[in-house]
Amino acid sequence: MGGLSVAALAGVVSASFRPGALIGGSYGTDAWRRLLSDQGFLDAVIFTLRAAFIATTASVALSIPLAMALRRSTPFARGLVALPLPVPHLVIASVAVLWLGPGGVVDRVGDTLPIIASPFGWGVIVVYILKEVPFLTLLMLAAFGEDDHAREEAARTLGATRLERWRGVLLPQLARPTLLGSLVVAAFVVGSTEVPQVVGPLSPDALTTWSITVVRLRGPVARPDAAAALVVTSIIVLALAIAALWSGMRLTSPRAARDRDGDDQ
Amino acid sequence: MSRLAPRALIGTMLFVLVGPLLLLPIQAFADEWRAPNLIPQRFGLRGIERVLNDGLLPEAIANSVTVAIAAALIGVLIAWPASRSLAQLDAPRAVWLVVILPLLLPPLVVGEGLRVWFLRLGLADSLAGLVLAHLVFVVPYCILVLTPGFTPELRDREAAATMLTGDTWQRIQSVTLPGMRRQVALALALGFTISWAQYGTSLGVGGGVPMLPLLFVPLVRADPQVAAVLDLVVIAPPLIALAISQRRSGVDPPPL
Repeated sequence: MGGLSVAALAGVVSASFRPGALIGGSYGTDAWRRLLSDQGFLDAVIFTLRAAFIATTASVALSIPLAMALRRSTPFARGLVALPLPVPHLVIASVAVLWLGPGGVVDRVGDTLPIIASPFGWGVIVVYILKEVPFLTLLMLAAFGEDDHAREEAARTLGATRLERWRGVLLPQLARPTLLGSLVVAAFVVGSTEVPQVVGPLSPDALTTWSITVVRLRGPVARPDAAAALVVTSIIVLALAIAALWSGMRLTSPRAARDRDGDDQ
Repeated sequence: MSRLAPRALIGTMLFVLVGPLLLLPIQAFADEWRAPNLIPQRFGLRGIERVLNDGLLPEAIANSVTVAIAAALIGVLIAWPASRSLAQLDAPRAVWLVVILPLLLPPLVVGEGLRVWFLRLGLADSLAGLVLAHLVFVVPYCILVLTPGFTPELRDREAAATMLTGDTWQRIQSVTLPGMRRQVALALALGFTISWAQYGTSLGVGGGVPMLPLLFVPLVRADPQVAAVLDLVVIAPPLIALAISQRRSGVDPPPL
């Protein structure tokens, strides 16, 4: 499957440099020149990165207190929090339209919230928060050891304040899942297609939907431009993925474990 | 107060995260629900009838089921030897991270990138091409699920069975498959779910083949009742997969 992934990446790179690849067209950088001077594409980059940053930051900010609250809760409550996890993004986006869109439940109770199709990207941000808070929460819950409560109690007995206990005991346990999870979430937001299509605005596009829009508006001749935009998307996603892998390995390396053990002693 | 605050937080978050899904069955059977009414004026089966009588939707559902079943079965067959090797080698974390790396690739990139090659191979806009493209995401999940099942205990029992019977098929039938039953069920359910909900990949590699997610997107804002019916159709397999995973026990996750 690694071969198919590499073939897919090679396919978009090749298509971005070779208009008419199927009929033996020659290589060139025209698509890239057009792409980098296209204001719509630059707006799409800003829209996507802003949505990814806000959705990730908000998801982390909500997940930490929820994970702390769920630490000593019943398996039933944890199971309920896990419920949205296997629900496809498409369904969450569709449910967001039913609740928050024009004529939706919120619209009936009060007034239309400018969320769905908001040019700022609030629709995309809300859908990703709903989808990723359970993911990050469960990731954080898995990081809490069975002895975290005992460590916290020991710190309290030794006179540590709530802030000191948070910084010295809980934060080190949460650092790895938070960093790893947030990079993965950001990568998912950047690479998503269906969520911006359902709850995003017509303009600006997200990076992936820009590649669809440009072909729809300009025809097959714009396929190299679309492929170039997908190469940029891949570069951003792979950079986030590599950062996640690097941080995951660094935070779980034998040296990091020794450092943690040293801190404990 | 100190106990009340976490409970209130959990309750609020559950209401926000899970509550919205409860609207789906109401919307799916609301034949008439005019604003600003909070309760539908008339319930009925218009949504289901529209789905069944649509020119493309039944075909799209059948295609999605076919592709998802094929992707799940082939995904488990490919993942089986890979998982066994990873478990036997006690693969280091770096190998695991390489296994999961394809999961982070944008699905539209996979679909559009493979389309370039599939057009040459005659696989574009075909069910076979869709299955192949979906495997990029299905196989890593199957590996993640199957590997913890190949425990040292299972391998010991397999060695004993081989020594006693000398028959490979009998060993698989009497030891390996019963020992891996839960993992195989979960891998099949998860593989089906991953393929079932693929949008970007299907759009890129098989835009001409009617698939459920591709027809679903335009309906979300156009017809909320039909969209809610399709939501319930799309959501069923993942919830079954979740139920299977909740019943799973005694299995350690891979070292991620």
